[in-house]
Amino acid sequence: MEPNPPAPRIDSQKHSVEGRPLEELELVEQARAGGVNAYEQLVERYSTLAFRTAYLITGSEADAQDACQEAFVKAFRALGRFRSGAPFRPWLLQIVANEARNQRRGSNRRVDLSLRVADQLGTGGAAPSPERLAEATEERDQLLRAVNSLREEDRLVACRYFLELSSEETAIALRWPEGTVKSRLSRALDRLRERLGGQHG
Amino acid sequence: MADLQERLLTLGLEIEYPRTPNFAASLEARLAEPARRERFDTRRLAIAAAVFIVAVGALLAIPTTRNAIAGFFGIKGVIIQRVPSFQSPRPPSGATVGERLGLGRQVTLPEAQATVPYGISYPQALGTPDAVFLIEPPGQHAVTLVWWPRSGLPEAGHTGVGALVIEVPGKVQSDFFLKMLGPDAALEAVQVNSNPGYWISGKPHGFFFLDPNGTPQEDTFRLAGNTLIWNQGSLTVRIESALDKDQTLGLAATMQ
Repeated sequence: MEPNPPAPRIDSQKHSVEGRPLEELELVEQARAGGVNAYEQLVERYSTLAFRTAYLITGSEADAQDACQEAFVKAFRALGRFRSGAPFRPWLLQIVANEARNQRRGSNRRVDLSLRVADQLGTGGAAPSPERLAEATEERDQLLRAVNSLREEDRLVACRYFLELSSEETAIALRWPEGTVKSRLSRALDRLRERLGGQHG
Repeated sequence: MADLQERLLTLGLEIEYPRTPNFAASLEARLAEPARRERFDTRRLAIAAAVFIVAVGALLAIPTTRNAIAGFFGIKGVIIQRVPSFQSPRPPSGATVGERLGLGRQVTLPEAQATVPYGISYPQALGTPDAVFLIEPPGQHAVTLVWWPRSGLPEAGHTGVGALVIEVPGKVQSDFFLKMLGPDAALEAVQVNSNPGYWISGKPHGFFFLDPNGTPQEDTFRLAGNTLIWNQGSLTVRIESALDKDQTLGLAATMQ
């Protein structure tokens, strides 16, 4: 079995020993007590991650926006039942993912992610040659096409990498047992390798 | 080729996402609104169901997906989706039954009863449950009662469990009733304590049910064994075990 890659955070905050921002616990407690201002700060902090999660699931900007708006309201109303001290981020993502899946259900639209234009690619260092850039772009396009072609369950779990979630957070967000996340992830990676292998001949 | 997981992490940085809206700005006004449960009214649900049926029909028309979706059928608020194969989780050994089967956190029966807004009942013939698990919102409340294998109650598969009873609030929607049986159906309509129910045998299943808001929710059968599922009052109840139909119906008759 492959080791889990490190899970860098989209939200670069100072972290406590448990891997969560120190002030998050305080904000969550204030929000649980009905503090709208504290909750707004939490929403602000996780808006991008939540919106991207919903977008990866629905493949639609409008649906992702609806899902997040609904989820943020539902989460606030459910805060009373949030277990004090539990990680807030995957709990919130679970509500967002649930709303997004509800938005997507009933639509057989294919989720078709795309990449930012080549000249914005973060290559670092000196500017690459046009040939190298084209090659790198093609490699990324191939990988993304392979991800797009995965069946829903496999694609969802592969999105863990795009969102930089740990397998534990992925399990909470998707409401799957962690063992299921790992086995489905392993299967999704195998399928990606198969498809990429085929493309490379 | 760079490690695939690293490539996926890198790819994530290059995906074109729409600009994130300013959710926090409009939040206060939205929080002041009453709960929006009325959004999921019956008409909306019926439309969603119709769209769903059409979508499934379209998928069934494609040979490659026909095998993947053998059929659907419904019981009041429940839609059951049959699939030919299902990857049962193979978690690390040492995980507790609750972790292995995704049952939530282990609690005592009185704790579970004090938490959920409905009465917990179970087949008296099985005796007091050996273990009780609870899943709490933000999803649905779900209570799972577990009995370990014993004489007369064989282990279901390799799960270490003799029987599960799972109780989840499910909205009764008599008009939300889909029936699309596949060719190798191993299911049968039955009466369970005067309520309509289904007996499902032989294959693992995933299914959808409607929560009290009328929102479709997804769940899987935990033991992938024989299952009796029915709506009892405001709940969707199911018994999963290796017992046969008559034995399970006999258990259900002692629900209290």
